[in-house]
Amino acid sequence: MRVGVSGMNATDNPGPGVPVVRSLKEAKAASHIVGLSYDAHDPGNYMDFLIDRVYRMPYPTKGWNALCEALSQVKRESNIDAIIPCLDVELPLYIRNQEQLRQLGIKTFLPTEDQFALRSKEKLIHLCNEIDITYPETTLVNSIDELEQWAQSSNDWPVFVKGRYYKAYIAFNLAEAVHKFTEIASEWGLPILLQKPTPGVEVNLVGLGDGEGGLCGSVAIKKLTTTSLGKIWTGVTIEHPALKDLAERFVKYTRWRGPFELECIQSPECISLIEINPRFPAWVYFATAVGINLPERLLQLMQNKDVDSDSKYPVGKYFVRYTYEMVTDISQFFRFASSV
Amino acid sequence: MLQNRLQQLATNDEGFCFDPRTGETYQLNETAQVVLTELKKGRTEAEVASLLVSGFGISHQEAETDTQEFLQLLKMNGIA
Repeated sequence: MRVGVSGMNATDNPGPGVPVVRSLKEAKAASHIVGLSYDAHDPGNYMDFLIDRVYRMPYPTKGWNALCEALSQVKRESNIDAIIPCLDVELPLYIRNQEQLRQLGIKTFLPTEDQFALRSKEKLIHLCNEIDITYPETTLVNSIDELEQWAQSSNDWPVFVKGRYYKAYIAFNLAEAVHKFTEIASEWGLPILLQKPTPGVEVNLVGLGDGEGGLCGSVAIKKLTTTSLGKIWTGVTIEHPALKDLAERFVKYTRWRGPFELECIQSPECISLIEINPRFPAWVYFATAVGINLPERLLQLMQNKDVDSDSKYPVGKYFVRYTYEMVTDISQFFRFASSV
Repeated sequence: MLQNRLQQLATNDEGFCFDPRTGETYQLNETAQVVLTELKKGRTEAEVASLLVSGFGISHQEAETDTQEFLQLLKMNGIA
């Protein structure tokens, strides 16, 4: 299969694209890999040992027509059979237009718009009620006035100030909350979520839904250390029956189609769901390395092949990121910088 | 239930302890290593305390306190 993968930003705020590609390469699941990059600086652009060709894509904010035109060019020139979109902001466009992509001869394996909306941060509380899982007390605010009103009525600090797609900061008073509200809203828009911190240990799960209510594999981990952006630096595989059970309830209820990540807090009393990411996390290679290659299984689902749903992996496997450098010619950068 | 959870804990000779359910890691001192090892064998709290008395030459009261404190730590960490 010839596969396009986005999320080439293997930076300090890493996208999942490069780990997805690495998983596909190790499984020899793709004969040709095309990187779909939004930025000439993305490190994945320069990884010619993993990625056969890279295209610079128009930002999702330019709309579907611009993205579709670029994807049509990729199809014509590189004849890709499938795309694995890996970034939150582009997913709504891909989901809405998956039929048009199919007509272009490009397979995807994505949730429907309704399924996608069910796990949005604004609606997650309703989903949590349906699948019987605790959700932290959360308030949506659309303006600083509403934030101030919340502060007057609640006055319960600290609180997490969270963006719709990205970013979450803890605020210990109204001034900090206003500052973070402005920062996140200007980058990622409204609404902003105010969420009470939940005491406990963060545990995460990556999984793959078959679109018919089944779970095609999952791996649970605990992040041992994170960067200042909250990104995993070291982690360990764990066996967490309650988390796996939650993943099974989630895919069964939503009939989730595609990859997902559950972010939860485990306290001695209960497990709470914080967030559901509708894509592979950037640590997905950890799952691959312990024997559960979910990107490979995703391609098998796209091709209507039998998919191994095994989720047996060794617990106590340790994950550590590291930094590395590549040196190339500046002409490579110019090529990407001028290609949109 | 406690016995099941204790059996899940992985330990080594240096006192490193890993809980595969939560991913938490702990460093056990010598006393805690003995208490955990003996609890995993199914010994009662009183039996473990007696072993501490003979093994470390401490008073029975001190041994009981150490054992209870360890069990309390297990509870605080969601193990017991």
